[in-house]
Amino acid sequence: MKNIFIFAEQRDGVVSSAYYEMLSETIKLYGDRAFVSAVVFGYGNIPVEALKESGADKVYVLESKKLAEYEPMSYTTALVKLISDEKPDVVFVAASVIGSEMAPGVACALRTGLAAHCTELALDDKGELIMIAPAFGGKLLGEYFIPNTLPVMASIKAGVFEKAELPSKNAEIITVDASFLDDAEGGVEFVNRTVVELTEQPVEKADVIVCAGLGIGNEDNLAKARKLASILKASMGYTRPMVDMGYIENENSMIGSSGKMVKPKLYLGFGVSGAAQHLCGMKDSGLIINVNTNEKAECFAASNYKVVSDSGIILDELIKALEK
Amino acid sequence: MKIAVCLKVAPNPDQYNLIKLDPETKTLIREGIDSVISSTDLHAIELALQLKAKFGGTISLISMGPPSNAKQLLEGLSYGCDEAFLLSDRKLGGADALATSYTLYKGIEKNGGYDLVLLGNASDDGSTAHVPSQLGQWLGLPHVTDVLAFEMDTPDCASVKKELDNGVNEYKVKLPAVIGVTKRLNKVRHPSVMGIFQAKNKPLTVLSAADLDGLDEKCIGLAGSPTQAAGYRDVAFGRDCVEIEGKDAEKAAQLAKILSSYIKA
Amino acid sequence: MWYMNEEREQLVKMIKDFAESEIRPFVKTMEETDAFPHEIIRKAGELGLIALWFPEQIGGMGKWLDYGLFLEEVSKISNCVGNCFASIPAGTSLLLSCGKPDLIGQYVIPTMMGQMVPASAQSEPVGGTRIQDFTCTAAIEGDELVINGGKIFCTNAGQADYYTVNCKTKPPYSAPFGSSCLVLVPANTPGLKIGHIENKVGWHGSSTGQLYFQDCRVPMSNLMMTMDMDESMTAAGAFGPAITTACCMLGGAEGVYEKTLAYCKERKHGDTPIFQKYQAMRHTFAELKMEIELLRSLIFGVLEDLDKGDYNISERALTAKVKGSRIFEHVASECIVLMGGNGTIVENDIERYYRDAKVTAIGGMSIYHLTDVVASQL
Repeated sequence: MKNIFIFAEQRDGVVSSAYYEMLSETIKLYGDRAFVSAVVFGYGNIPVEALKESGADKVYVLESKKLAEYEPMSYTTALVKLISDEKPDVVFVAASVIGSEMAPGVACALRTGLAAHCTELALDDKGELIMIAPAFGGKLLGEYFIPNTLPVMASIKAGVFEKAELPSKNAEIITVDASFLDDAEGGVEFVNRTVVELTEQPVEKADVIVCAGLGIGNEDNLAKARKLASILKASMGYTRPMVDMGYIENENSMIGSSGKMVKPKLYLGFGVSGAAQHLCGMKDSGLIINVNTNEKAECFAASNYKVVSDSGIILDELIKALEK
Repeated sequence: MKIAVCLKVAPNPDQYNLIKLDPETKTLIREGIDSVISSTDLHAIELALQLKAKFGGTISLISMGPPSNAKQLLEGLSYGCDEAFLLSDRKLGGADALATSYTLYKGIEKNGGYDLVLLGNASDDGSTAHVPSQLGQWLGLPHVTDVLAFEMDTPDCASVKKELDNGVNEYKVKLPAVIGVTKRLNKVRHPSVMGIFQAKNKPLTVLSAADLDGLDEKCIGLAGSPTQAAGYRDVAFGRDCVEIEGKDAEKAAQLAKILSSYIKA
Repeated sequence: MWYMNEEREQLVKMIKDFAESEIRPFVKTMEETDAFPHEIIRKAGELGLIALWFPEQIGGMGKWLDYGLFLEEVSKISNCVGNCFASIPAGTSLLLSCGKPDLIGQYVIPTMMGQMVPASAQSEPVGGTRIQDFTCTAAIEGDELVINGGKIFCTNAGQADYYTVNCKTKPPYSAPFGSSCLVLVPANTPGLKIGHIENKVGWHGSSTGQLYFQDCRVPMSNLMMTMDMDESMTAAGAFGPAITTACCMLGGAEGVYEKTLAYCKERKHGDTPIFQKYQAMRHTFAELKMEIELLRSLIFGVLEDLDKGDYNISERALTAKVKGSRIFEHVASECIVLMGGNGTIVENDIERYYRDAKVTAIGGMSIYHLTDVVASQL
């Protein structure tokens, strides 16, 4: 029996979908050989009930003013303390912004290993965890294991694993005394949060994605791509260079190994070169179509259909055809 | 202000498509691929230069790797940094993020500590983004990663922003601290000609494991690496790419037909 | 390469990054709108790239060879931008040699920093480069020089901050004035008018045009030097512009060659890249490569000699320009053919090199004239 912790990120009382994905995959992988505990932090409005019913065996709740908003030092300290006390065999966190920052600090404090941004999990013949994650920006997949230290830690990419319908196990709720945080002086203080309102469906939840890469060429063509997306009721996605070059203000809709992992029914790319980093994030989509002037573009290797043409012209023609 | 910038030397990401897997041994073939300063680390250098211009002080570059990394450190110096340390020893080889961050910590400690330790949030090749937080933990300093905005009015406290899934959080960080930066933080300058010609006259010190005081050999190299790579495999796409041909309008018409079944009412 | 070392490798890397991020995105605009690369010159100046050529006495580096590397790398992406940088030594070398501290402080140093663009105004409709036939005159009136006349084919016309103008001194003149003089005319001087800017076959973005001087008055202190000049004197000073423009030709030839070679190794007929399929193509590439390497050896030999202080390179410098122009044109011309149909398409940006190559045969100084100079010294 493995004692497994899953860190459940929550905001405003809503548990992140990544938690359910990790939980589903854990149960799929270990079956009844795992005792699964959800770990949740917060201050007021903590979704204890949802976690109790989620299919986990146990829920650890840490409530403290210091945990009201995410802040790296307090979150790291809290998780380190809990793991040190409870000594789980395996700890999963989401490879979100929070998880990606907190998990390495925790692993360091515990002197244990951590596999980053995993997209596949497996067990070897001894029941030990093999973690598979993109390497070289997704050009290759690396297999990692943590043989000599405990807990085994992995951060898991959201959007990769399926969320299953799990029966409630009416989990035991453990409220952990978090007063040790009150006097902890980490040196990082939360000041405020600016919420970015999403104007469309989050890209990772969309059935249809229109994706723009740098090869789209200019703002005009980008506007056309957005118009197409509205006709198709699709969400817009972008490649990393579009964000780095300042075409896009934030990373919410960035697809790739360092952004969102997406699996829409239809992916339609314009001017996407097909860097390994991007392909890693969209290769499991249903139907993949790419438009690129470069007939050798790497994106075509991961496409069902290719169109070798200028994105702007095809967008014009396509919008015309669809508006008929 | 005493600033350290940790640099990683990594294969040039523009050449990842040249990386191949030996079909027999499943080992990496990196032939013909250049080594470069991992691109996000350059943004850490840029921030360091801006802070040096504002508050004065020195910038030290610290890197772990083979002796050949001296070339990239020289390049780092050409941006206007003051000195470089290369932590180079066979014993350090095979390090995961934990052993790497431990070694960098020892290198930083050797030089008497810093007001600010800056580094790219993630390297181009490994992209684990583990080293910044872990370095912060080893040093026992506040650490914030994924930083996209950094402001500092007084040399004892910085205001940083990082993007979370649905917004941007702002934090105050007390110095000394460790900051992992993103590419969005700034635009990296080009080194100047003068910087290039002066670089070779700046101190570049190679430190072996023996030079690092109080180094715990159980924490370095392969032995100090709890996370082990079992091997690599190719990514399978499994798609037969069919070209849609014809004039642009004809291509669009065919596309529209394919798309029609996906359009929601 | 025999002349490379670690420092120069770093320099070349920096220049490549500079050219990719600052020049490549601007090329299309230059081609389409003839926009002058002011911003690129300013940034290169800030980085100290222009100072590579300038003498150490005024804060430069005094490195011909390193400046040559700069011109070569820039020209791989745009021969035209390369030539804009090659025009800077051409526009300032006489100003430097006049040795007047005021003019050097006010004009040369800002030029070295990329804050000013120089231009050299020499050619006239009558007489080509024969100075004794020039009609542009400078008259002495009190402590002013009054210029009247016109110039054609002035590189950087309308974009420069100042012009060094070759004038006949108007009689009666007395010592220390010779029969002709070089005068510095700031761009904003009343009486200086910019005439027609030519629409050239290549070098779009460089500005070549006419200047008119109508009672254009400058202070006597702007007099750079006076000369009793015969025809051969222009040629004697021609090695500098000849070798710098040759560097641009080398870069242009390499740029178009590398681009075409990459294409032919990718482009397939059936399952085989055309480079492998057609021996004739491989031989053409080999021939072009040999021409490029010949040119490189010649150019960098000259640059190395100049850095050693050996100025006895005139013949080889002129050879580099004359042969460089021919080689650049030949390489660019063959590359269009090697690319097949794609070579003829403007968007594919191969034919630009061919058009630029055509201009290099004339810009700065005609290769016929330079060949004549070489012949005259046999």
